[in-house]
Parts: sequence; C-alpha cells; structure tokens
Amino acid sequence: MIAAALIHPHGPYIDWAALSPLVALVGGSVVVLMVGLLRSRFARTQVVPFLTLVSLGVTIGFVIWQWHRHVAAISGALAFDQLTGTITLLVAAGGIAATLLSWRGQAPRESAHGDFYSMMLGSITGMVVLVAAQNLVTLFVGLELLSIPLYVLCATEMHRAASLEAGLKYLIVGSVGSATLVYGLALIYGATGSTDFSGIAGSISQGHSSDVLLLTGIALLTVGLAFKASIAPFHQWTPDVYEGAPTPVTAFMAVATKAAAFGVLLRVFDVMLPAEHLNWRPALLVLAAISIVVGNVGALGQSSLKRLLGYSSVAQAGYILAGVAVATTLGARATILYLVVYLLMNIAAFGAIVARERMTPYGDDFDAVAGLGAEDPWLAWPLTIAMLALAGVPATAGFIGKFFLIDALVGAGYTWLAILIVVGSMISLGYYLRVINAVWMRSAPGPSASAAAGVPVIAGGSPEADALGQTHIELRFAAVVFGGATVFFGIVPQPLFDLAQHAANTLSGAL
Amino acid sequence: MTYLIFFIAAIGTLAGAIGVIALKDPFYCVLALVVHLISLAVLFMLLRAEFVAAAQVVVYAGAVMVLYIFVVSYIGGQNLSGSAGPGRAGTLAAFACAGALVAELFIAVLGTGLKAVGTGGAHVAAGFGNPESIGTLFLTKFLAPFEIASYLLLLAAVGAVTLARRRGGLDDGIEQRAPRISVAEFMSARPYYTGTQHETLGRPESLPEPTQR
Amino acid sequence: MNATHAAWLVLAAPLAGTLVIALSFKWLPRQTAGWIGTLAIAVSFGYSIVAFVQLQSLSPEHRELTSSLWTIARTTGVDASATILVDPLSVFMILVVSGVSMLIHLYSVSYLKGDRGYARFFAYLNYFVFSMLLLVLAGNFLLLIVGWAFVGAASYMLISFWYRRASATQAGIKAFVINVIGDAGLVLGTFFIFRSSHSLDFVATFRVAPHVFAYGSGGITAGCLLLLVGAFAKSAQIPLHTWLPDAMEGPTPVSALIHAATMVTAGVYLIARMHPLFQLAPAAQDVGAIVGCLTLLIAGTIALAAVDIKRVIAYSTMSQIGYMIMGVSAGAYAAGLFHLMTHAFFKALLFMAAGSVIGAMGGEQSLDRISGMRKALPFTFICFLVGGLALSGIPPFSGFFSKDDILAQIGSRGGWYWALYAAGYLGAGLTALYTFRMIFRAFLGEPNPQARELEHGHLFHPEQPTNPANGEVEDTDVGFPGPDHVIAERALPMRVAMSLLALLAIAGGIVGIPKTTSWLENFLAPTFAGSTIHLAPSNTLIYVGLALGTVIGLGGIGLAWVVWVARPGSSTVIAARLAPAYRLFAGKWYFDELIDALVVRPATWFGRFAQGSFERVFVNGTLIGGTTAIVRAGSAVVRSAESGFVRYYVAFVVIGLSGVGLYFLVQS
Repeated sequence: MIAAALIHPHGPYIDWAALSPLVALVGGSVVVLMVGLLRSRFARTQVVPFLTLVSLGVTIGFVIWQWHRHVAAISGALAFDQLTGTITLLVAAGGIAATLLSWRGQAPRESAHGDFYSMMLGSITGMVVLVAAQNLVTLFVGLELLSIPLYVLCATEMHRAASLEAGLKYLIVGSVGSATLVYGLALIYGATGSTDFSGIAGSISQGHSSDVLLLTGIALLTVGLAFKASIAPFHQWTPDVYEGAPTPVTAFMAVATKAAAFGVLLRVFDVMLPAEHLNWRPALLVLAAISIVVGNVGALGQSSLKRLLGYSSVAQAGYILAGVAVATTLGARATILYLVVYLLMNIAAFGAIVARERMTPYGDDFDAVAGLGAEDPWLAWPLTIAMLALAGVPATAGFIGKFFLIDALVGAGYTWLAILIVVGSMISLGYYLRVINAVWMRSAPGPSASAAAGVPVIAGGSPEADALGQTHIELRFAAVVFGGATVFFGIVPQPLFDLAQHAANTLSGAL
Repeated sequence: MTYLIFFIAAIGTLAGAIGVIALKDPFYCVLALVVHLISLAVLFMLLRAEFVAAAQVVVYAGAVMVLYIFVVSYIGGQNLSGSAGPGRAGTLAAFACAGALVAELFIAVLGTGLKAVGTGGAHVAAGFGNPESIGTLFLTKFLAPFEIASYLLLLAAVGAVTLARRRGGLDDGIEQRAPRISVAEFMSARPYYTGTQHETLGRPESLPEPTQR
Repeated sequence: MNATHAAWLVLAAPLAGTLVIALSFKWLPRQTAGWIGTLAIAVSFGYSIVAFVQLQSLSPEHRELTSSLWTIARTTGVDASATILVDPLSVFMILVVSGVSMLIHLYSVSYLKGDRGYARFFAYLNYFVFSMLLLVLAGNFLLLIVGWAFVGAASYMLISFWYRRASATQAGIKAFVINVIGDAGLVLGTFFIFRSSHSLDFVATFRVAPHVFAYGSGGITAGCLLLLVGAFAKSAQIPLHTWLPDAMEGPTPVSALIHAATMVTAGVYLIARMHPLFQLAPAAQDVGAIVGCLTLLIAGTIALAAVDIKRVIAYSTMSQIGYMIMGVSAGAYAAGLFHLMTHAFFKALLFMAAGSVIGAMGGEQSLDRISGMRKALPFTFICFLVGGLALSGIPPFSGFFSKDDILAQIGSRGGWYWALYAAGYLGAGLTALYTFRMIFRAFLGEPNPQARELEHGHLFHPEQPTNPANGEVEDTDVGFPGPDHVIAERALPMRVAMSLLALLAIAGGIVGIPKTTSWLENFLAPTFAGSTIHLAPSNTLIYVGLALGTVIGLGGIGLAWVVWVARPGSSTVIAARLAPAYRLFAGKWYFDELIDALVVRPATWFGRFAQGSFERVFVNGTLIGGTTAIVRAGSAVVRSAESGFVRYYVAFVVIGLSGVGLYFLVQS
C-alpha cells in the first residue's frame, strides 16, 4: 500500500465547508496582522480589533452553519463534530470578550495591535485544532499553536517587569509541560504502534490494556494536559502568570485555554482511552480532589484579585476534572456545561476588574473594587453576580453547573468527591464573599490611604495618570452581558443542557 | 559494528546531555549540546531514519546551535549572583525525584510486554523513513499538522519580533523608559505570598506584612 | 390569544411594573410611580378577564391548561419547569387578586402621596402582586414554593416599610420568621409527596396520587399535615397567627391588600388546590377544620377586646379565614372560595375606610380616642357601614351568602361536624358584635376634637408625629410615615376605589345565591370534579341557615347597640363582671406569652447554655477553631509553596509526575 502511495500520492480530500471555522480564524489572523502594519493610527487601534471581532463572529457563524455535520477532515486528522463545535463556540466567545477587554488597553498598544490580535487568533486556532485533533501529531501541534502565542501575549505589557516575568515563567514551565506531553505521546505510540486515536483505541482493545509502557505514556500525557488545565500539583505557574499577565490576556487564558484543555481531555480520555478508564479514573479523581483543596485553600487571604481568580481557576479546574474523571455521558455533559458557565462568570468578573484597573490607581488590588457598589452599580452587579456564581449560589448559572457535576458524581458512585466539591464551595465563600464585601460594604479608599499603607501597585495597574479615571463602554458591556447571562442561565438553564447534550453525544459512542 | 557505533553514540548522547546541565561556562554548555545532538543523529541513522538524522544535523546541530553560540558570546558572562541555590536538602530532593522518574521510565521501557521492544527492532519496509516517504506522509496523512506547523512558525516569528522589538514606547509615540530587566527587578519588595522570588531569598524584615482584610 | 397566553401576561405586567419603578424611580416625577403601578395591575386584571373568557369558551372537561415557558431542570428524577396551570380555580384567584389589588393600588396613589418612600412602596406592592399571582398560577410545586417564599418576602418588606420605626421592623421580622416556618412546612410536605409521586407537576401528582398513596396512609397524612403548617403560617391560623396583628404596623393599604384580601388567603387556596391529596388524608382534613374553627372563635373574642382599630380588623380577618380554612378542609371548596372572594371585597373596604379614619385622626389608631366621626367623614362612614354589614352577614350583603354557604355545607356532613356548625354560628354572633362595637365607638357618640375640627373643614395634623403603637416621637423623613394625612373625602382615587369595593361588598353575593344563581359553584366545578366529597345540603338546612344567620347577625348588632350606644358605660361593667374572660381576650388569649414561654424562652435558655458550654468549648474551640486552623495552615502552606522560583515550580511538576507515574506503574 505504501508502494502504491509512493508512486501516485494523492492529496487528501479537503472538506472546506467543515474546515470553514478554522479558515476564518487563520485568515482573520493574517488579515489582522497585515492591517496592523498600516500607518493610520485609526486602522491600527480601531480597525484591527474590529476585524478580530469580525473574524471571531464569522467563526461562530460557520460553526452554527456546520452544527449538525460530523466530519473527519483531511485524512481524518481533524474531527469537526459537536464537541469541536461547542468548544469552538466557547473559545471564540472568550476571544470576543478578550478583544473587548483589550480594545483600549495597554497591552496591544505596547506590542503593536496587529501582532497582539493576530497572536490571539492564532492561539484560538490552536485551541480548535487541539480539540479537533484525531491523532497524536495533530494534538501536539495544536497544543504548541495554543501555547506559543500565549507565552508572548503574557509578556506584552512590556513596561512592567511582572508581565515579562509572567511570560518567561509561563514559557519555561510550559515547555516542561510540553516536553512531558510529547514524551507521553511517544510512549503511547511505541506501545500501540499507531498515532490515530481510533488506531490506539483499537490496539488497546486487542489486549494491550495494562501494558506498562502504555500506562506510563498515559501518565505523562495526563500530566502534560493537566498542566495546561492548571490542575494541582501542576498549577504553580497559574497564580503568578495570571497576576503578571495583562488582565485581558489573563481573562482569555482563564476561559479559553481552560475550555480547550478540557475539550481535549474529554477527547483523549473518552475517545482514545475509554478502554483504560479503570486505570486512569482513580488518578484523575485524586488530581481533581487535590486541585479542589489546593485551589480553594490557596485563594484565601490573597490581596490581588487576579491572583485570587488564579487560585479560584485551579479549584474550578478540579471541579471540571471531576466531570471528566467519572467517564460517563452524564459526566461529559456536566463538564461541558460547567465550561460554558465558567466562561460566563469569569468574563463578567474580569470585565469589572479591567474596568477598575483603568479607573483607579490600585491595579487589581482589593482597594480597586472597594466602594464600587456605591460608585458604579453597572460594574458592581456583574462582579457580585460573578462571585456568587463562582461560589455556586442558586439562581446563578454557577449553581446549575455545580449541581450537575455533583449529580454526575453521585450517579457514578463518587459521593466522596461530590462532598469535597461542596466543602470546597464552602471554603470558597471565604474569599468570594470578601470581594463582595469590598464592593458593597467598604468605602473607596482615599488617595492618601494607599500611600499610608505603603503597598506598591503590584500588577496590572498602569501607572500612567492619563489612563486613569476613564470608563470604557465596551468593558461595561462585556461585564453586563456576561453577568446577565450568568443570571439568565441560572433561571433558564435548558439551552445549556441542550448544548451540553449535543456535545456529549459525540462522545457517547465511546463511553 | 552496529553495536559498537550504538554504544559510542549512546555514550556521546548521555555525556552531552549531562554536560549541558553540569558545566559552568555557557559556552561549553552549548558545545556539549552540539555533541549531544550529533550523537542523537547517529542513533537516528542506526534506526535507518536518514531524513531525521540529516535534519537533526542540519537544523539543530547546525543552524540552531550557531544561533545559540552567537547569543552566548553576545550576552554571556553575566553574573547571576543573588539567585541562591536550593541548599543541600533541596538538591537531594531534586535528585531523588529525578531518580524516581528515571527509574519509572526504565521500568516502563524494560518491563513492557511488547515484542517489538528489546529485540532487533520493528520490521520496516524498504524506503521507510527516507525523504520521499516522509514527504508523501506530510502531503497525505499528516497534511493537517504539517500545514498547521507552518502557521505555527509564522506566529512564532511574529511573537519573536514582538518581544525582540521591545520598543518600550507606546504605539502612539508616548515614549517610556525601556526597562532593563535584571534579577534585581524580580526581587523588588512585594508582599508575602505574591509569588516573587524575593521572599524565598530571605530578608523578610524588608517585606510588608500580608494584608488581611 | 388563548387562556395560557393571557395568564402569562397576567404575570408579566406586575413584574414589568416592579422593574420599571425600581429602575427608574430617580427620574419619575411625583405620583407617576403610583400610576405606573396601578396601570400594571390594571393590565394584569384585564388579561385575567381575557383568561376567564377564553377558559369559559372551552368545554368543561378541557378547562385545565398547562403551559411551560421553559424547563428549569429535567434530569434524573427531577422535572422542574416554569409551568403554570390555568384552570377555573387559578383563574378565579387571579381575578380576585388582580382586581382587588388594582383598587388598592388606586387607593394608595393618594393615600401614600406624602411619603418619602413613594416609589419604593409601589415597587414593593407590584412585586407582591407578581408573587401572589405566581403563587396561584404555579403549575408545579417548585413555582408554588418560589411564589410562596416571594410573597413572604414581599410581606416582610411592606410590613417594615417604615423601616426607621423599631416596632415596624420587629413586626416584619416576626412575620418573616413565622412565614419561614410555614415555608419549611411547605417544602417538607412537598418532599413527602414528591418522594412517592416522583413528580413536581401538579397535574401529574394528582393523577398518580390515588395509586401511590393508600387512603389515610402515614406518608400522605404527614405530607398534608406539613402542607397545613405552611397554610396555617401564611393564613395566620392558631398557633401561627401572632404575626398578623403585629403586621398592622405596615401602611394601611398593605394591611388591606396583603393582610386581608390576598396573601393570608394563600392557605385557603393551597388546601383547595391540593384537595386530591387532602382527600386521601382525612386526618389532615379534620385537623384543618378544627384549627380553622378554633381560630374563628378565639380571634372573634380577641377582636371584642382589642382597642386598636386596625387590630380589630386584623383579628376579624383571622376569624374569617378560620371559616374558609374550616370550609375547604371539610370539603366545601366552592363555598370556602366564595367566602374568600367576598371577604376580599369587604375586608379591603373596611381597611380602606379605617385608613381614612386614621388619616382624619392624624395617625392615631386607638378606638379609645376615635369617636363621633360620622358627620366629619360621611363617605367613610357609609363605606365602613357597608363593610361591617357584609362582614356581619346581614342580608343581602355579600358576606351573608358566603358565610352561610360554608356553614350549610358543613352541617350537611353531619356527625361531629355539627359542633363546627354551631361554633360557626357562635362566631357569626361574635363577628356582628365586635364589628359594630368598632363602628359605634368610632363613628357614633360625641365627636372628638379631631372630628370637630374636620367638620369645620380643617384636617387635623399633629404637632409632632408619633408612633401610634408606643408614642415615640418621629419625623416625616424617609423611613417614617410622610407628613400628609389623607382622607377619602378629599381624594378622588380613594373614593373611586372605595365606592367600587363597596358595590362589590354589597352585590358580590349574587354569584352564589343558593338554589338560585350558584354561578361560582358551577364555574369552579371542573376543578373539583374529581372530588370524592359530595356535599349537598338539604333545602331545610339552607333556609334554616339563612334565617339563623340573619337572626344572629342582627342580634349581634342589637347587642352592640345596647352595650355601646344605648347604655354607654355598660361595657366597662360587663368587662368588670367578666373580668377573667375580658383579661383573657384583651391579653389575646396569651398566645404571645404562651409561645414565649413554650418556645422562645426554652430556645433562648438552651441557646445560652449551648453558647456557653457546648459552642464555646466544642464548636468554636474544636470544630470551627480546628477547621479554620487547618484551612489557614493549608492556605499558608499552599501560598508559601508559591515561591516565585521557576525551578521549584518545575520541581513540583516532576514530583507530581513521578507520583502519577508511580500510580500507573502500580496499576499495570
């Protein structure tokens, strides 16, 4: 067969309709890069982000257009099914939010707008590829395409040492993660002789299920992916990088990277390795438990909001991983549902935080949101809703998400982890309520208060006086829309259920 | 003959790798890395992966290493004082962890029940691994990762330009002090528990107390 | 537009009103909020009529429509959706609720006009109406519970509307606490039922109930008794009634709307709605009937001795709801709901008239100081008289037909129900007596200074506003009643509202004249078609009852005339001669003290004890202290591991990696 291929190699059939979301992203990033080179300041500062939004909007449109198709494109390297579609929608929504958040921000101005948004679109492309990947090679290329632009994006606020430090840390620790992952992929290939997910699954089902080489490969693969999803104990880069990176980038990392990482976790464990679930399930459950504990405990007593959300994202990653770990259709559904919910509440929170960074001299410190309730209810409410939703208070989407995770866990017989989720949520109130307390109960610190405290502005805050005191409509828009959606889906969750069910159905054959 | 070459190359690979992390002078580190990479290329040759071996020599041992040497000779010799070592216990723990990991990998590779490993190697058809078959694979089965990788390179170049430019000034002409990032900057005083390198280095009296509200 | 669409709009209108007023109050000019609120409820009432007409156009067996707006959760074992149930019962309730609410909103437009919290008041009031409509339209237990809790919250906010008045906030807290007891009862009862029926939906639950519950079995009885706890708390039945008199701290329109016409009848609605369940639990039905009967007697006697004009009406409300609870518990559903409707009319009217009297008195509420208002407030007097006659069950006023309907149906059940029947007529005598005691004392006799001033065209305003409950000095800023006092004679919206209610109080009985019209009974028949209790009072019973009711009502009025008008002073003589009874009545049968002694004090004592020993040592010291110490220590460990050194981070990755790797090695 190889000989025949050697003589007349035929290029694979390319289903452009199925590929269209990917084409929109790649094309968008190239166009954005070009427009960013124009001399006109207006083109650079306004047209570039606008084109980014157009590109993401078109991507979403294409995904909806192709929603009911299930295509294995380009020699089966990429699967465009409803799981890919759902994650694409999520990362595109995260991208739209990040674009809005950085529209008039510092980071794109320092790193050139075209480069900034082009790299963001590139990272989103990587996320889509990662989730759509059907073989090990594509998976690794997707992961790198996701990561490398992100390393640079973290360092784009170049006048701040913390931003550069974040980029550097992320790069070094991330390379360790990538190396681990690629080692794991090599071992899996060595054990099964195939790079295709379906080939690997077939090889495993033919009786290599507990081969030590394969299992070690799975271990390394688990660690590599857990690293991207910031699951404890592979989470340590998260708080530092979240705090140091420009806040819009932090928001993007928090929601989009997480969605992609869990999308690929679902794909890998529930499509490639379902036959191994007795082996990997306990490991994932324990990792989830460690994340819940570490994240929630670590977030207590933080004074930086971004750092707090960094730890909170570790805890939330633990919750979501629990949904992957149970390896049931219900668990997969709960995972996807929680990813959607997680996106909504985090964008609402980050929108408010970015707005306060630009309005006050306190950066992302608690002081920045003190007295927000009296000063600006249109930011205070989304932030409050986001915090309540992250803590899982009823009538918010966060409650629905947690409820279904717990339902899936109890249904699969892991009540202990469900209890741990509840305990974690209780601990989490200890820091989420502190934010709400600062928003509503404290009064805004006077200008002398921070000088007396002697705390220097830690991160995120741009010290430029001319940038302070501005309120930007797009931030408010993002915060209000996503905060409103958090409440709306807390009351009318059925659309989310339908979405999660569609996405999980593509996995149900394997589970 | 094959065995002899294999062992020479294997020793070269390991020695090179150890040299990279053990040698003090960055210049020697890079040279050790070159030794490592060339030995690896020899191993690839033994596996009849001619294309990979050639690529290894041309791209890594050749182009990339030249760049490294340039960089090292350009900025090398910077004194990295202040970054205190992890201490005896830390070093021991690091060795223990690394040892454990190595042991695990050995067990995994040696303990596998797969027939292909540990014998003469997998049977491969003639022409496997030569440039032609690799090219065919890139244009058929792995077309998608191949194209995505090229896009990845484009973005990596964009990122590199972005970082290298480091204008330090703003897009709209407002000039700013271009910060010179040094170790000292990473160690500026910040409160406890905010992930700076400073607190591990001691001098806690200079740190503000963590604020509890 | 079909009936369910109209019903959704019935719900939407007051919600929209709330949101509009609450979000735009800063920009609304004076009194606009009131008109917006009134308009919203008027729209709601209009759509209620549409729903009614549309429902009537269907054949009787199809008059049970459900409509789901969205699904809240449909997963393993739970089927929760935003479903409303439109059937004759719910349409009847939305007609009464939105109709009476509309008139009370209209009244409030003028009555509250001087208050600084004007817009807030109407936002709350619209929210209340929304919650109440949600409660009666709910098509499953989930929405019922939501509506039930919302109504309790709205009641709390409105009782404590004058939030700087300590007595008002305390009354609000009391009402809220007791209502929450009721909420807990409702939720637990729902759980008991859901456990066997596996459905939250009303229609599905009622359909499977006879198959999953044995007649009179423990499960259904416990469930229904818990539902009764909810009903008693909301409807102020003994022993969960003590919040209602205190709730009179709220503004008078609130008393009229929530604590007379609508919210307190939710318990009656609940029992009627759940009749397929209650009919499987005869013990629970009997408990309901007996408690209702006790309440109507006890509340009647307390009303005889109370001196605060609003509290007299409040006790009267308790007493009348006792009739309704007794009726629906005994299976007289249509009759109980008939009384619910007529009571809403005349009791709202009485409260409105009382509000006008209080306005004329400059905020004073004690019957000891109000007297001779007849000439000063002629319109108010007529309205009060109409309401009083309807309440006392004098023909042809509306209360006459509805009260006698309940009693005739109960009498027809025979057996020990005759005792309830007799108690009902005794209560009717009490009703007439206390009602006319209030009317004679307030309107007849020597005009007091305020009345005399008003006769000369000058409305009395006190020098210094005070709290009528305890005489504390207040101001008129936000959080206290406003500076203006209003009487119906000088405010057109109040007169319109009161006139319409007076007409309804006079003629409302026409829908249920026994053996003649029976319109209401026929209208409600499809809802209760499956009822296993068939009550058909004989003609003799009906006519004897009507005659007896007339005689007793007139007798009560006559007695009141003798005691408080013809021979002034005789009341003190009687009070002195029957001193123990009088003290018992005036002391409100010492329910507050009883609850205090039985519940509050032991709970406080136990709380002190627990706080002193158990909590300080075990909970605080060991549990909480231990837990927080562990969490704090963990937090310190996690955060200090966050050293900032990349090499340590990588080391942690390697440690984790070897751990995970080791696990997988062990697995192989």
